Amino acid sequence: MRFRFRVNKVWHFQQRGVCHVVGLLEEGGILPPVTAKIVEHPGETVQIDSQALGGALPGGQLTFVISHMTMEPQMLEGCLLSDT
Amino acid sequence: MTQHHLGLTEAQQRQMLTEGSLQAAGSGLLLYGGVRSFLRGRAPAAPKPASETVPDAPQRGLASTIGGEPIDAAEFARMKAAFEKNGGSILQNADIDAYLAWRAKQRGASNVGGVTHNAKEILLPTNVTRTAVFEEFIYTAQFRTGRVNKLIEQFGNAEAERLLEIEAAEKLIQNQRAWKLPQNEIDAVTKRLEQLRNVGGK
Repeated sequence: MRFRFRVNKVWHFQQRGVCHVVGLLEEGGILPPVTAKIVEHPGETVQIDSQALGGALPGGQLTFVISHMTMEPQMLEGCLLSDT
Repeated sequence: MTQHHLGLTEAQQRQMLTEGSLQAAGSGLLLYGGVRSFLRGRAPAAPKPASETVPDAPQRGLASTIGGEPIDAAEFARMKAAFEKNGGSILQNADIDAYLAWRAKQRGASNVGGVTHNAKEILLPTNVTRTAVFEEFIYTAQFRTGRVNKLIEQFGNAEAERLLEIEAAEKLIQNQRAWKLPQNEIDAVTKRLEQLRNVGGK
């Protein structure tokens, strides 16, 4: 499943090393778990573990739970995550 | 684990089993999926807006965030314990309150009752309603049974989320008596269900 997901906001659950990324799915769909490349940071990836459910956000925004980051979470804000 | 550990009556447990939330396994009850992560809450980690730091705060007493009846603290403690015993985790603290408040603001809503990560992890506000607890357990069941990924595969992420929320709302309404859900909270669920259906043109 191909996808392009633009991150608008990152929330970090520091004690568990898990983040919520909130943003728009610009293309395709995401079927977790899947590894996503960070387009703005070649070579960097994140693991999309699941889609968070409850309290759906407006404007087509979706929330995904990610882990295994090698960079600071806030650096993801504004970034494009892609399968390729 | 006996039904008393969950604080549910026999009828309630039967309902939850029917919904795939609880499963008898071995000599005890296993919390299943949506309800499976019922109990493991420790006031753990808090989501932090990347650029903000929200200090930890002592947990407050349980109270409804939507104007309904707060879940009984002792009953909730039993549910958390049962969920935790089966590998689940319910996270509650000030940071999560801030995160849920942010989500509510995004929606233009007065609150967000909770968020479910997967089959074993739920975020709940420190002031949690009875209906919110049951709703998030339903979501964990949806993850556990593979319903989430199945719908994502079929309909895409946004539509899957809408359908899953509709299913959860319908289950809450169907089981409102067995789960002793307050009428005002069910009224809110019914209203949201209508909105969710309207978005899809149903």
